[in-house]
Amino acid sequence: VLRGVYQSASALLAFQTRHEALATNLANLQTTGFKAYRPALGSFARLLLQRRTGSGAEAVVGPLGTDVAVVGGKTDTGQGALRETGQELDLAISGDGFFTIGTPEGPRYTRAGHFHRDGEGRLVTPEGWFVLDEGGDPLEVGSDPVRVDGDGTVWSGSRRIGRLGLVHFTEAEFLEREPTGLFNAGPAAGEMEAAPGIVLQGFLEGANVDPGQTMVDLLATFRAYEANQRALEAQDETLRRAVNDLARF
Amino acid sequence: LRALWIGATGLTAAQTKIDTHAHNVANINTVGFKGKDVLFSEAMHRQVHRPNRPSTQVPGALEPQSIGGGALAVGTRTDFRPGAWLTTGQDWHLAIQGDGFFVVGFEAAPDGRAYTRAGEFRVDRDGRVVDPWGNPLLADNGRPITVPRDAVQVTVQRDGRIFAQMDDGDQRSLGRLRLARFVNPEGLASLGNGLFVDTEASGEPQLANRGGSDLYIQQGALESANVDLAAEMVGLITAQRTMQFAARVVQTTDEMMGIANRIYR
Repeated sequence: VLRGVYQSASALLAFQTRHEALATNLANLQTTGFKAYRPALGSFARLLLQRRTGSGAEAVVGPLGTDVAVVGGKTDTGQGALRETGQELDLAISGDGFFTIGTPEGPRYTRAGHFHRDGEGRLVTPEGWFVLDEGGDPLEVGSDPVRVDGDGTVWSGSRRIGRLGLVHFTEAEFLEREPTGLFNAGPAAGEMEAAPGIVLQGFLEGANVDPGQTMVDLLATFRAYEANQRALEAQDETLRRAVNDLARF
Repeated sequence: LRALWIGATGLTAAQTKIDTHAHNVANINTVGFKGKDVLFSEAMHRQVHRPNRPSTQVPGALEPQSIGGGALAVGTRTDFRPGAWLTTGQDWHLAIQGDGFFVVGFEAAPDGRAYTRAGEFRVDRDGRVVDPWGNPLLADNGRPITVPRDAVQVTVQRDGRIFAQMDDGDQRSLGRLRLARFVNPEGLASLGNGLFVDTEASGEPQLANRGGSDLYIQQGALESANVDLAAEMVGLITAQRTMQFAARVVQTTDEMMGIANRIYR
């Protein structure tokens, strides 16, 4: 029974974490280039139950899960809806790929293409970080209007300014997520490769959160949390009877 | 339960968006008004695993990942696309074709100047050309433009040169309008009343080469607000729905806290 109590408690924690992830997805419905969290629940180490037989030998009953937890998770890298804004420096990627951003900690990756010029004509994010070109340098777009091709080449009139640093990863759903919403290439993200997606100028990519599905998941998580609380209660009641009533004659 | 705060960030973000759209819609009849937009980003987040947990034996499971901390408005930006022109025929109603700004004297600004697209000027009792709040319109020499008392008509040419027709038939030059351009107009700081000042993000004001086909001044017209009412309404509705989702998160979190509280009775 005590084993069950801890199982239920671990499930409460796991579903609470899952609820947090779903809450974040909902809170970011309007965040440009946001990619939904997909937390994965998994069981912890299993015990092999054994029972004593009459002869003293042990017979295998079967495995018993001990615990459930959020064992990591991945990012849903699916395409978000493309919204036309008509702004010159709003860029979206249709298909796979990420923009490369230069931060003080090194290159990071994002799908949020709401860029603008800084005072010196360099392309920057709202946070003021540089958007990098394919060579890893800040992309200087200057003050004149620019045109961006599907492959990320930036033109000012007929003059080629440079090409956006567009990359993709073989295991993009396992990119590390940074506190700022940027992605970082960790060991799990696989190999860096050329981005197959095309760049659209004057568009922004919306969050890829499906509010309906997320609400269903939220409800399911909520009920699972509730059910585990009930299970905990039932076990507590069993334990109470075992302690208080069994000894009573 | 952190989801409560995550829901709260969603509520705040949606509220910011609603405020911005409301501001845009309220200014649909403001001359030279430029619509604003809010940009969102993910807020701080954390690792979901306690470090002392053993690694799992679930096949395919990876190292713990972080989950988000909600949404955050990282800033607003101003849409500097041109608005439609209203022809009024007034001498001191000016509209700019292209990406320039009128320069007005504004004492509260660091260098005494502010920049505006709202070309609704008038002549005050001292003969100075001023905006509706009394800030003088500046000429190339950096001084206010003054109209002589006996001028009967004023002509503002496309290149900004101003001529006054005097009652004795003479034509007198009143100077040339100054127009400023910025590398990054979105980096301008808004002062209200349609006035902007330059910042580090916008870059220094550059004297614009006016008179060509891509940048000129039109007399007798006003630039209306560049607000797209349909887009604002769609934005308002999505912001409202986002707010409802965030409110639901707060509600379910509250109920989960209630459930947790009922574990021991």
